[in-house]
Amino acid sequence: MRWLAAFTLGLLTAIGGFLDIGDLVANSVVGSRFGMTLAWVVPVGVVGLMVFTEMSARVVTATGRGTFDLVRERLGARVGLANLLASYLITLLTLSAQMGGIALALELASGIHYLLWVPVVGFLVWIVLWRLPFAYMEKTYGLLGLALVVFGVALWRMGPDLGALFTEAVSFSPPPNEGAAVWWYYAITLFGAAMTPYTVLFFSSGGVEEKWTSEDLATARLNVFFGLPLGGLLSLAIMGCAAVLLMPAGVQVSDLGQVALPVVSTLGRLGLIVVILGFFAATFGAALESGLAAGYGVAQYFGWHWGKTLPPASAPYFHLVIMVSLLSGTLFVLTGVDPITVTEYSLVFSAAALPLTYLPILVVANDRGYLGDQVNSRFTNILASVYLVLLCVVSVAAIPLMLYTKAGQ
Amino acid sequence: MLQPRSPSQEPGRTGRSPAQPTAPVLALVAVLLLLVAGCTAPTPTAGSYRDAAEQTVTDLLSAVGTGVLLVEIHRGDRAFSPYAETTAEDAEDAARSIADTFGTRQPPTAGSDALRAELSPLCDTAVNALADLRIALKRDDSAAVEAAGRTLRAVSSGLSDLEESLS
Repeated sequence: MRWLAAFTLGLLTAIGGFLDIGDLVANSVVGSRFGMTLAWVVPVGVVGLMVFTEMSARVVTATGRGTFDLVRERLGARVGLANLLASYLITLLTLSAQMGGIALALELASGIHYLLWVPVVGFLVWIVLWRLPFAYMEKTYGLLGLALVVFGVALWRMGPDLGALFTEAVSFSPPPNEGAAVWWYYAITLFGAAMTPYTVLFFSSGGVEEKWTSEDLATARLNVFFGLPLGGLLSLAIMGCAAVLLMPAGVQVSDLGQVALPVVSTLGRLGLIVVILGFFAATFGAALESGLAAGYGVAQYFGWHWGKTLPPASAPYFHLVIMVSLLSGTLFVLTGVDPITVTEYSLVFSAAALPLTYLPILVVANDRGYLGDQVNSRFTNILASVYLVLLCVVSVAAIPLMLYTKAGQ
Repeated sequence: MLQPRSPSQEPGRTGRSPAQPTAPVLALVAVLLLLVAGCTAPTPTAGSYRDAAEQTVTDLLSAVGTGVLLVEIHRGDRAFSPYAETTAEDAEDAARSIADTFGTRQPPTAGSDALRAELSPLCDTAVNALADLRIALKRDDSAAVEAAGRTLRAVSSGLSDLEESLS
């Protein structure tokens, strides 16, 4: 049972963390506009996420401590604060986007305007975080999130020319009617969607919550190497659906209803029920993860008691940070800002801040004082260094490209 | 070591004139000018108007394409009303916003008037057809949904022709 619980954590991270509102929107937008020409970004993002998540898992199993806790201790208060600020602000923006996504999914199911759902969503996320046990929470949303496999079924039912899709995927160039700058801008958005910082933070802190030891490392690695690629495959299925149905119809995705169009067109009412359930589960799971990640980051940096398993009286500041983050997210979405736009901007800003999150993990994972013989291997360091260079390039290019392309127009 | 001469040490100068701006002041003025220029909308040209029209056509085709797909979904009874109505409403809102944005643009030349005269009616028809689709979906009126679908396909065809002529 303990093995099953740990494995489910990986699945939740894959579906709720890898596949969240950002991935749903980014993959569908990209597929509908560029076909499969940006499909290569997904495996690049997945491998990067796997490298750093496995590193975090090793840090947790070797030390039993959270990432931010060690980052502050190892790199000092200033670097830790920069790391915390970048991660927290991005996580807060991500949390707002997820809450907007939940509200949009509920609007598609009910026809009631999403803004009326936002306070309900804020309350539901808070009550689940407060009352639902950690293990039960991860199992529920991990399994419900698997409903998004419906995109794979829809793609299969559409019977696309797989050879043509593959040829497009390895063309590594934008379609003739699109410029290179916009194409690269969306590559960065997709990369940001794949490597969202809160995923790693939630995974490692969740491991501490579940009291992982060195005996759990094999299971954690299985989660990383199985769960994350599963999320990546679902991302490609979403992109493929959009490329096959929406691109020829001239539809460029700008709302969640359009993301579901290929499934509804192909699988009808049953597909609609399943896809809305998948939207809800993925965004709700990601809202729980990002809400907790916000609390984990701040509490670990300041050295407060933290943990979802602890009652609020034992970890008051941790729970307070979660409540304030949820309230901020709710109020932000209630301003009427388009949740899909928030999602797109959160991905770009996330991409811009990526090195601040991942560099400290690499430093800690190379410290024998913490990890002993569990420090990074030469191969891991080479791979991680290549990714750090990539993260820096992405970070530098993200904002200028956003301005130059007028956010991908 | 040679020291650079200050302006007052230069031949023929008795001192710095109080009216002459210094380098920091000039830099500040340049920065302010840049900021002001950044806040000012660029003067529209025939080229920028054409680019805006092209973007409008692309965005409008997306909203219209969504409407056409919704008509097909309704014909096959493949979706529940809340989903179809919400998606149609979103497409209509998007089309209205796109049409309004283009409508407020000033055509810079007489040549641009022809482009405006061609695109504006397509914008209006698209918005009205999507509104008709939303109303028909809410009433579950299949005949009206099909009628809206026919209009949307006609608009889509017109927009595609215009897109080709613009590209």
